[in-house]
Amino acid sequence: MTTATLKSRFGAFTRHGVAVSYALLVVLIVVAVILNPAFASWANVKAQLQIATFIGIIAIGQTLVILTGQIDLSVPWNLTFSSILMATLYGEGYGFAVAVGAALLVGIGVGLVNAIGVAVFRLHSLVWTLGMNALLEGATMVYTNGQPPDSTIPGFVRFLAVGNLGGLPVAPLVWAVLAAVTILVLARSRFGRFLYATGNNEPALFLSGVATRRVHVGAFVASGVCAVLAGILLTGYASQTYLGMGNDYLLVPIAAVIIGGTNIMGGAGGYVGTIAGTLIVVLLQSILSIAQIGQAGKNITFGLIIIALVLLYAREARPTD
Amino acid sequence: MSLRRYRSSLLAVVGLIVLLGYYWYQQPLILSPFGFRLLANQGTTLALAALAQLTVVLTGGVDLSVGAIVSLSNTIAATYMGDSPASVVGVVLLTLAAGSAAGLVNGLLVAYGRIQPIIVTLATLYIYSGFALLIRPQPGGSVPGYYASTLTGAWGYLPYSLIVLLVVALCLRMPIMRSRLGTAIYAVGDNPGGAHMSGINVPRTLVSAYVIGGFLAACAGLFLTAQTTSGDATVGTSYTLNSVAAVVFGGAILGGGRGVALGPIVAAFFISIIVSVLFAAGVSSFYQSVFQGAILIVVLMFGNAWTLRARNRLAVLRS
Amino acid sequence: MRPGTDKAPLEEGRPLLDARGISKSFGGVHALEAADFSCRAGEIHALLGANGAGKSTLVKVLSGVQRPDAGTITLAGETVQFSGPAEAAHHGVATVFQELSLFPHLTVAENIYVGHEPTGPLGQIDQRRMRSDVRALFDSLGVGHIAPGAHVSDLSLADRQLVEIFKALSKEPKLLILDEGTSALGRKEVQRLFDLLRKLKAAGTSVIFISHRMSEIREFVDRMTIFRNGRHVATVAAREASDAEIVEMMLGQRVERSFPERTEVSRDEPPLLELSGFSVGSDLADVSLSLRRGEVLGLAGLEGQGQGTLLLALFGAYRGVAGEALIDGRPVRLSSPKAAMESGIALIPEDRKTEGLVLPMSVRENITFSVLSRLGRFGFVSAARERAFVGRMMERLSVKAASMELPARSLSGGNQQKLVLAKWLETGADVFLFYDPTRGIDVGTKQAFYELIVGLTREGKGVILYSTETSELIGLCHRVAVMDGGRVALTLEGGNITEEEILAASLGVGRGRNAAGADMAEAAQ
Repeated sequence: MTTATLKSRFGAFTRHGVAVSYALLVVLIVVAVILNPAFASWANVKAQLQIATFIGIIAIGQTLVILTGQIDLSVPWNLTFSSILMATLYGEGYGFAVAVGAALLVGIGVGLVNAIGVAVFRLHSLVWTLGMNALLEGATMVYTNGQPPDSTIPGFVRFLAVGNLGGLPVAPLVWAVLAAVTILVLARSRFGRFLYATGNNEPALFLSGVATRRVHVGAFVASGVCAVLAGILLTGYASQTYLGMGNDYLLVPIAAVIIGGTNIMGGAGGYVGTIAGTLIVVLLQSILSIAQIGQAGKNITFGLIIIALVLLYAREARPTD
Repeated sequence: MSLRRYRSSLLAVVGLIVLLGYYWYQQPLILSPFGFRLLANQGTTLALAALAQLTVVLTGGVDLSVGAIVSLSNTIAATYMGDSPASVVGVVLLTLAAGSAAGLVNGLLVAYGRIQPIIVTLATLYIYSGFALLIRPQPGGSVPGYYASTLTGAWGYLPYSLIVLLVVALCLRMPIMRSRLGTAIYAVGDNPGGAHMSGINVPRTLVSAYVIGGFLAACAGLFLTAQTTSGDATVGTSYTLNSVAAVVFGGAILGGGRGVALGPIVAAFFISIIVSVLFAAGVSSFYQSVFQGAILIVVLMFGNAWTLRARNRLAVLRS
Repeated sequence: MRPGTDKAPLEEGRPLLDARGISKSFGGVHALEAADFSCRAGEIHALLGANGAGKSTLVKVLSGVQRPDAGTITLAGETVQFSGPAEAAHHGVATVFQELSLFPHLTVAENIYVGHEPTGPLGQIDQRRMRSDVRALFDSLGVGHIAPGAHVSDLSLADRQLVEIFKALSKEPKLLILDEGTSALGRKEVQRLFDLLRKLKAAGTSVIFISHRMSEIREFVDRMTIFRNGRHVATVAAREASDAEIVEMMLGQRVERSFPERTEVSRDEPPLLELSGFSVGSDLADVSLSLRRGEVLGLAGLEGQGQGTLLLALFGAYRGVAGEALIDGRPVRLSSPKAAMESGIALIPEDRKTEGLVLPMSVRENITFSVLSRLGRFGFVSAARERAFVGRMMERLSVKAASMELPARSLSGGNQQKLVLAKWLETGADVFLFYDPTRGIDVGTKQAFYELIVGLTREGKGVILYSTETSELIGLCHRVAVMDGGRVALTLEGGNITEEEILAASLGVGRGRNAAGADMAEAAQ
């Protein structure tokens, strides 16, 4: 892609966003290493990447959905329900393929229903996916009778989540592969092109003879599947499933997308920035932990960082300009 | 105000009547003074939070920090209130001021920082909940018994909570929504560029709306404190998304410019009461979330059905 | 002052507004360069210029929406600097902008009074007084059909434009600026509007009027100022300069407005497109049409008589469409724009900015939305093939853009419209639907569009052209269907396509109606 392409695709808005977020990332790394030189140890880097993987994979789906101008709030219970379903089915002796396949089907189904609400019924995704989240929470409660399930985790899931491959941790490798595919799809594919166009001006794309509903379906199904994948990895990582395992994964990935410079109204941004956003979010958490700042301080700092970054690069134009 | 604007509330009103009818059939006791009080108290916090959300939604924004402001108000009230009437009044005023200040920060960032409302309030959601945690790292604290009973008690069939809600809603309506500021709030949400060109001070209107929103969220927090009589920094979490749901169910349009207070208030009661109704109907508590989600989803689809009837698909795409 | 300005000392009248040396640039592009403009008290003054001449920027500066980089504005002898539209309004300048500034979900009365509503002792708005005042105003102006309590979203585009104008007038301005304020109005309404403007003028109000409809301007204005490339070129009395001279001043060169020769249409071939009983609710009633290869079929009539609905319905953008459409004799299902595209139909929609283009995306991306699947494999786009395709299209339509990577937003109106057309040239479309394609584009590009439309017919395509400019229909079309109330009132052919015939049929009077009656009688036999 030429510089000119980048300019037109992302506009000043996001070129700055990506640069600023990577600059901040470097600053954070330096700060972390100064605070605690052990931070740069391979073991710690692996641990940080491990945590970043869950957020980063969810943020793939969230980036695609946000690019179309929507948002997916059904991630937490989609993740929880599908993970519990996988673990339970496997525990009942259904085998790895069936268990994981069923979980993925849940993700696809959730994405489809989300997309139908948004693209067919034209409902605001903020409320529609929220309703889906409540529905999935209920489904989980009914399925588990409100008891934390007895989990049996497939060996391969354990391997994906915490295994090593040639000295490298597998989970971040999975993330890297998915990230590469995402970046390629956004930059080069027809679907990627239509995502940006839908977020900018859906009527114009519709009048260009493009089935814009399918674009929404693609984005939401991708988000549903990403949530399931993250859930599977999280299950392997924690060696168990539990109610509420998805609760921390609603707002943090969205924050990562925003920090990475993607426009919350859609149409501009991309996954390159989201990667930086994800790492920033994770690093910040651990720096604040190293500095022994409690949850209250973490929350406040996190909020201030979002505002500061967005003030730097994602302000809207004045109405008169 | 034209009557037509109230049409959007119809769905919520009908929904609540049907729900209450069914509840009464299941549980005739709700027609007692005690039942009335219970019902009224159940919905008032969310109704106030929904009014807070509505004020912001009307301008075309959304306030994700409503829940955090509710928590913050709750922790302030339950931690500092003391026992003397003077300190109660003082802390109530302090809490309202804190809520308004939180709204002011939101508004300034939206209007003068020119950041998307959803991003601003996502960030301040973290900040305000951080402050709530600072004030009250562990759940606890208390409020005097007379504070609780004054807000949650009843006089015969008339629950005090409804009076509180009515007073707040009327204060919102008469001096604010029917003044030039009110029209400006609708106008800014309906067509921000047009509002600027029409000579409306858009930033000031936005800031006002967020301050009112913060104030109302603090009212919700104060009422919630009277119900729970203690402080908890996470108690308000569910009010953010439920207030959005109530506002939308109540007929307001995310995107701004359309909606009246009646619908969200009624919808807030619907959403709050449905859990009890399901319980009374003998539905296992495990199914309650399913029903809540399903009802929200069905209601949303119904609410939007009129848009889909439009023959012009472009109009549908733009709505 | 440059030579050639102020050709003659005109009638007396002190200047109400005097703007001197106004400059304004956007990111290095000069929209206005030391431009002068002056307007007397109690005159109707037209501001003319091709696209990009700086008219709209001048309007925005005069109305306080934008601050000039340099220059002074004197209003009634007082030097003013507006901090915003509110302050301009305070000084008696009210503006009707190109983009409507109405609030669709407020009532007509609330719209008209927004920001300066009559209030009671408690600061509450006096709704009753507001409505009765508006009622009285509307009745006196002969627009009593607009209800003060109606929501603006329920009004027709023309009525909305009227409300917009009344909104500006409600501030009782000394200076009223109408920036393309009449583009959606039918002739009757324009006439009524100018009656009103004359009354205002008599009362001492000045009006600055901007429009692309030359004929409107000539009839009603006192003086005209011509802008070119952000500068003042000349100010002349309305009757002093000929159309050709004005166009020459606008363009900087003499351009003959001429239409290319129509393509010969073979009568023997079966029609390319045949519609029978096409209906959409109450918007479109039982329309039957046919279109041959090489033919331009015009749609005429007053604004909003179903022309737009017909085009959009043909393109699959409406649901609940009854009737049958045949292309090359085969029935087609036009259930979505995608289906219509696959049946060989292309649409150049009404508003290029919101319907035709994705403005922040590049020229390249905008041109390829409809053909992307053919420019690559496995869902991916081949950059090389895409660039080649875009290069070819830009050359064919002579799109002026420094790079195909520039955002579509940065192009001029005419070039933007070319992008909308370019998108369809290789989709295999045979039927091209044009929805008022030259609205708001400059004279030079209009000419290019005429060539393009006729060029399509030479390739054997069929064109349906809806235009609000009657001269285009007369100059380009083989047949013109005049629409009224969602029906085809009359179809004119060949030498019968004249301004008078079209107008008569549009208004449902005179010869037009008789002829239509005769047609129907024939059809009945």
